[in-house]
Amino acid sequence: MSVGRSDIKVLIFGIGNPGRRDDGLGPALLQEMRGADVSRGTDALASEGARSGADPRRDEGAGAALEFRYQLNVEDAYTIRDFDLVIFADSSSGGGSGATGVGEDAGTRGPEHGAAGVTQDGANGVRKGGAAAEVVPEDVALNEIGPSATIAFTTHEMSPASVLGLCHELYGRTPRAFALAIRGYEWDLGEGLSEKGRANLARAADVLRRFLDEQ
Amino acid sequence: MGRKITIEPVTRVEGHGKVTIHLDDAGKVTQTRFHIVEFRGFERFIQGHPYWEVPVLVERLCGICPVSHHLAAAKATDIIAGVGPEGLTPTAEKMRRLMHYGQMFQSHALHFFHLASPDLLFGADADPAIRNVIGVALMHKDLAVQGVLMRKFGQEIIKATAGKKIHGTGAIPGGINKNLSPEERDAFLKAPDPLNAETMVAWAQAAVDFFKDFHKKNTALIDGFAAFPSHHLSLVRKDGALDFYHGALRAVDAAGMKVLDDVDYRDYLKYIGEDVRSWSYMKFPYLRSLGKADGWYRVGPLARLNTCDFIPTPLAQKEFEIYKAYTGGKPNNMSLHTHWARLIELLHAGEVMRDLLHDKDLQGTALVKKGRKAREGVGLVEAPRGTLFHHYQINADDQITMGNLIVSTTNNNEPMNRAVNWVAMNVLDGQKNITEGMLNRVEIAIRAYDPCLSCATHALGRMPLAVELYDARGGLLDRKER
Repeated sequence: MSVGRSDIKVLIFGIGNPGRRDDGLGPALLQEMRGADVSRGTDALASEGARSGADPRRDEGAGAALEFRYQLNVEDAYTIRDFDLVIFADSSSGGGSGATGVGEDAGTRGPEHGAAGVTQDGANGVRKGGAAAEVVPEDVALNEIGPSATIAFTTHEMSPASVLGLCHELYGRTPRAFALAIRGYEWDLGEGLSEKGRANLARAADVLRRFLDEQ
Repeated sequence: MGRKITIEPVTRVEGHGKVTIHLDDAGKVTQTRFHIVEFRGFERFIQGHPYWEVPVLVERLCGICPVSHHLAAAKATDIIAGVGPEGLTPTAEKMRRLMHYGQMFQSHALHFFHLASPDLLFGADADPAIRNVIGVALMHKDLAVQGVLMRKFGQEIIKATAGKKIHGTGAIPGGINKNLSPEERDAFLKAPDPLNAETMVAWAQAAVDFFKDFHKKNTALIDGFAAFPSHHLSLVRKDGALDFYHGALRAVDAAGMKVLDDVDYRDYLKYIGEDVRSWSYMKFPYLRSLGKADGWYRVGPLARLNTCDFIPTPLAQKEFEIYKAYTGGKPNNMSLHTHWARLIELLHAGEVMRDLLHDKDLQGTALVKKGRKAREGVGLVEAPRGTLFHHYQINADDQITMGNLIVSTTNNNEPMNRAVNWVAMNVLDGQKNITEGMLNRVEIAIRAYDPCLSCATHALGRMPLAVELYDARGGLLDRKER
């Protein structure tokens, strides 16, 4: 897989905690992009390819730069500033809300705290932009997002929209951005994805590859 | 009719908590509580795991300060591995110190610029829509840019020393698993402006100057807000210097008299007890010699600058002298002066990082030591938020059988409750209308302690943002969501 146009700089964030089962779907997506075997567990794999701060090379896979994040932070406004296209991949508790599931409280998470900081649009599929709209499996959602000036109740856990908003204020531009929400089911302490989570991961990777091929 | 006002969760701190204020029929404050409502159970979760996994496992406690847990656990398992607290190789100790001071630098920068500064710059009554980091970026762009890059610099130091920014694996029982290559070192020392060590020191100095200037213009607010006497506890180096990584336990009272006189922290259980209360999952540590009611204490930047005798880097020492002179050399008990103390520590961390990067021991190849295994180990560090205790026991199969953690925010549990009570008594008491500014002042008091509520109960999960109002009989009168 590769990005359709070689002049587009693409960054993919894999967001989540690999020590909380399907909360590791975001980092696991990065392994899919690298073509790695995710059945070994996502925590160790999430750090594969990690470079020290001194190494100017980025971790790359499938023609895109790959970044693992436990959670997004304010300095990610700096990270994204020079990219043309950014994908925020994170687990979802389902319902197309983009909310990142966290065990029993999964349903209470508002969209601004979820996988994308995306308000629910009720649709599963790529919308807006130049990408072709297409039907995707119901447990995967890829939605375009824009900058927001709203901060969640703690700035130590920033939504993608807030990162875009801060980037706009500090650096005068924002990349085109999409949120990739991958439905998860199990959130207990522990490594390894659930069977259904793993299946959704494969679907999500396929959706993302096709989307990037069309850019 | 009496009212209970709840602020839930506290904005702009990590994790979540709930503040409950009880008013009687006349609108007078009768009770305030700062609740922690989550339970996690990490101390049980690690039981049965091999002790060498613990420095990595406990990092899962928190995505904000994993390095602190990583190093405290490493220090505890050093002892289990038969290596005393001062028995590491020079390379191992200095790599850990660089990791730790990098963490202090990024955490303090992040807290001040993005959590506390919106309140100071815009005021407690400002529109919440701008009283945040994006508001800071709009109105004070240079400050926001510097805050972001100072955080990034510290995170890159962590990545270079621990292997990853979050949940690194650098520290292992008995040592460290990597050194710092010359290329990694030069990336921090020789990078073009602004992402180099000298610029970080300069920006940290500018941050201290910014606060001093702000303090001069807002003295009554900064000095008077949530000021109350307390004991203070931290580690201090053998010679009394400020040291974030290692030292002896010292506690002083509000007047500066020593209550704990530089004791070995491995004996902490002789000196520190933990009380529990029905309305919070978080425990309430206290100094045993003073008892549960009077033995509570503060930890963190304010406490550290009250317990130490000097700061062993020149620019920070100069600022420390100015800071101490403000209270005539006596302990500082003013909650908002924590921000001043935190920025002096930011400057100190910047100087230490820069100086350590020049130390050739970081490129050494002797990384690990081993000795005669022990069945128990205690490790303490000064985390950004205060003193952090890790204590483990193992069985004959090297499995963890007991883990006891006293995290920094837990140590500050009672002080945060006192701060909330001060605000409630001085700002909310007797008022007929409760404004958002009043409620935000409660949160300002808590934010000064930079609490990491995820760590305090070792919890994960989130709560919806809600404010609930109850009558004196517990009936729900109103509910508001943010």
